[in-house]
Amino acid sequence: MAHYFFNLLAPGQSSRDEIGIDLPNAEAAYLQACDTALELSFEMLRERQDPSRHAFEVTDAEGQVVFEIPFAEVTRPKDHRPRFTEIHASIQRNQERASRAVSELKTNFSRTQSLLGSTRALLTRI
Amino acid sequence: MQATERLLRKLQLSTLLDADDVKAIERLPIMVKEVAAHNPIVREGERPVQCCLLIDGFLCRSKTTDAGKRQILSIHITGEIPDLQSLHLHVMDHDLTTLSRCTVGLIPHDALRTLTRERPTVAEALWRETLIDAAVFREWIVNVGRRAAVVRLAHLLAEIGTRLQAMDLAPGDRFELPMTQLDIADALGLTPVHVNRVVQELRREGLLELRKHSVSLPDLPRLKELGDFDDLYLHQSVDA
Repeated sequence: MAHYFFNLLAPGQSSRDEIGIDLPNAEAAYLQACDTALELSFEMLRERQDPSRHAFEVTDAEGQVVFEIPFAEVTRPKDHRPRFTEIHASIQRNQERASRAVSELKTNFSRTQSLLGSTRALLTRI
Repeated sequence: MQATERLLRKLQLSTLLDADDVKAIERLPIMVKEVAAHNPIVREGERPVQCCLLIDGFLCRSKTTDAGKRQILSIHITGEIPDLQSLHLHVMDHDLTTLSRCTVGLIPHDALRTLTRERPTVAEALWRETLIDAAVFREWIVNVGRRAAVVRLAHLLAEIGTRLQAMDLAPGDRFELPMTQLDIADALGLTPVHVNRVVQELRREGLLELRKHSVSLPDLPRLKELGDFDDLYLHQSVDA
């Protein structure tokens, strides 16, 4: 079990989930987000509010964003909806992007360090 | 504490019993046992030969759809006999399950049948209990079918608080509520994530304080108003 938070993003105002729930995995969190987006959309439409620009931002226990799901995606007819495999791929892309950024940062850091080293060497020669 | 003490308290909320009625109830043969949380007491399709008196803890009645979705139909507190109907409807048409660790007292149907034949006022009291049960179901249909999410939760909390209060089990409008987010979601027909949102809404409004398994309702009158709650359907008074 892992703990997930479901922050509600809305134009001009967002609300953080302070409680969160325990779920077996990201797929279960995705299904929860879909079901809840649908329920909230119904409630909003009944009150003549527009849910189409709302989204759930789902984070893990550390606050890292696992995925984001716009309500418009859930209320779209079934065959136009992204499958979980696509969501999964996007989670993976996010993770790859993050690890690429980390490795780039590391490379830059070591490059700067070696530059600093040779600068020091040059300085001692003066 | 005697097993029948809480039962007598509950019955006497709605029915006037005389000393002989009380004695007859106290003589019921009751087998007391402990059941862990989230365990079935009796399942749909079974033919029970005893009724279950809840001595301590919380029980719920529920049905599950073919697709595996559970709807909780009612929550039961100390002093109640949630499967009293099995005395006359022989096959269970829903599940009775523990929400928390429970102390239950099993009363054989035969003993209850004899009691109701010998003591007409007790028969009336038990009949009245099943009628109040039906009144609660009617209220829950309205709650799940017609009320907005935050009103549903406010109504549920107001109901549990009011029922516990009548049994002196919620001093200062504070009580233990060992329901998980999923239990509450299944009682309200909402997703657990949606329940979290309305819980936070009630907290922000100053109507609900949560500690681990303990609930406190700082402004019960305002919660009742928000929850569209009128305790008439609980029939917690003896009509003269």
